[in-house]
Amino acid sequence: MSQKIVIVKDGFNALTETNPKNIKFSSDYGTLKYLVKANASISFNANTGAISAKGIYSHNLGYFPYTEVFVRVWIGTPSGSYEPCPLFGSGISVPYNAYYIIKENTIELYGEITGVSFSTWHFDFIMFLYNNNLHL
Amino acid sequence: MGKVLAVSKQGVNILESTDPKDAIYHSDYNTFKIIIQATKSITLAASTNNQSFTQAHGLSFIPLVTGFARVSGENTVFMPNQEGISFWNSVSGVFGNGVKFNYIKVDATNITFNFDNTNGSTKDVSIRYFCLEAI
Repeated sequence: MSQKIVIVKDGFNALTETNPKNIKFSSDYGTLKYLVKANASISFNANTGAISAKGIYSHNLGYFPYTEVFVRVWIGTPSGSYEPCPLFGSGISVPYNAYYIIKENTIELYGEITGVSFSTWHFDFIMFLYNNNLHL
Repeated sequence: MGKVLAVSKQGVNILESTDPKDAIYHSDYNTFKIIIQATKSITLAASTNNQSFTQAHGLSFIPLVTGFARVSGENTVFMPNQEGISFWNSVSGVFGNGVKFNYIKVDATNITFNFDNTNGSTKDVSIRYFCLEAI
């Protein structure tokens, strides 16, 4: 039997426990290796005819990293809660969408509306990038 | 106080810090364990929505599953609840590539990946999925 490191939840025996649900850490399993938390904001003024904005975050890893993104959408003063992205939301009359795609050296962020508006729209993104290579 | 195993970031005394952000690893906190990571290759039929593909996970519990998709020949990866993006400008907006990753669903036996393909041709798609934990 090979040696390993196992840390279990209270009340469980690290020498015998095999259910991952009861294990806090085991060297039998890989983990997500957290690289960086990054913020990016994009905006557009719908009064000028724009309906969308795009932002680019450069990670320069050279591969597709495991990534999680959250976004909040606001008009006027910064407000609202961060929600998981991709996001499909709606104000009183204007639906809005937020997307992201992963590239080998960048994360591309998009925000758009699909209704009539004369406001300036803001999309604040929080990205969590991991070193884990998606191998895609 | 019980014993802990902790690895701190540089410059932090992990014996004094109570902020999880200071710890690279801390045994007080659970971690997502990657029980399975694998790639599934599928071919989407042309001009067909709501296409499901199943993959047996072989686990004795229902896992938390995340996944990412890449259309063959395209240099972008996207998540469930989203279409791949092929073009954008500020006035016209975001244009999809016709392949939408609708959702991932998991039960006691299978992981199900669901896609739309509005293109007039078949599309080869690679899905990277991770079984992270028991739900």
